[in-house]
Amino acid sequence: MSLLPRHQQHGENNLVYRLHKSLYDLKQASRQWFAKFSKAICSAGFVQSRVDYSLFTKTQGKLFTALLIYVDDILITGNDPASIAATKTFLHSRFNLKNLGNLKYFLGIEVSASKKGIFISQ
Amino acid sequence: MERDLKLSDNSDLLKKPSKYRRLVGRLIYLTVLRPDITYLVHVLSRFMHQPRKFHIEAALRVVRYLKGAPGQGLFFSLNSDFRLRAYCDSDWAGCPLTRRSTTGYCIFLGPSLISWRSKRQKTVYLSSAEAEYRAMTGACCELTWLRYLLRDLGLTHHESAMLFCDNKVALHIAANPIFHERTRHVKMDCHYIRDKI
Repeated sequence: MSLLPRHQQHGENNLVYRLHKSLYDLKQASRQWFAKFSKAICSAGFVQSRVDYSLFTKTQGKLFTALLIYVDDILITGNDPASIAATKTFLHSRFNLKNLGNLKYFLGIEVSASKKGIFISQ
Repeated sequence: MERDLKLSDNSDLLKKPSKYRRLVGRLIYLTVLRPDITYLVHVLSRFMHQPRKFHIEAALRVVRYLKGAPGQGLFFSLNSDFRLRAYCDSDWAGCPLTRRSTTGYCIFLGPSLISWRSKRQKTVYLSSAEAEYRAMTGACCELTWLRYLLRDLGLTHHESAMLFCDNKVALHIAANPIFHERTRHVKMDCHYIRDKI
């Protein structure tokens, strides 16, 4: 990345930009995105798991909601549909996202649920 | 297949090694949900740097095996007691080139398989007990991690997880509180496992 013409000054070759905000395609972009997301989701009462950083959980008495993120793919599950819906509304208010319904494919893995259990295949 | 693959290092070098590498790369992708080919892919990927004709034949054989029964996957039953069981094993000096052993383990949560691995060990061990012991350590590390993960998911385990090993000596070392002079070099593993027992 080079300086824009109007920012160039005579005799100064080593000027750098100081960014106020992370830009797309920077080396640190993914880290910044995850930091932003974790901050947002933690403000909604979720706790980041210490053994798997992409897992966030929220426990309120018997209600349990789990959220799993891979870059920009998010899985939400839990034992209470109302808190899942609340999580989704919260995410909608912070980010621009699409609800793809029940889980069928995730990272190239096909998931199918039946009464007896869950079957996953590639 | 495995035995032949070990011994055949004298067939022709492949003219296009990238073809083999691409194929094995795809097989590695499949191991995400296919525990049955984990070991084979693990062996095949040892020859990535210098693939020979024999290796690509073996790799194609794996592909034929996969084609015989496509769409296999893992089933997680709803009827689960959420008890962790781990089975570990090692082949002592199984790799013919380096004589290092291979760790293998699989971990079940209730009736469902959730974690498995096949990995060549970093050092040469002189006895099978040491190699088995090393495998126990590997499985134990994974078990510890899984227990933490399950705890975060709201499943606290009051009963202990079970680790199965088929080597008497390794079990004795694990249970014996006294260090023998000859087992000093595996001391770190010893400490780790004993803490977890």
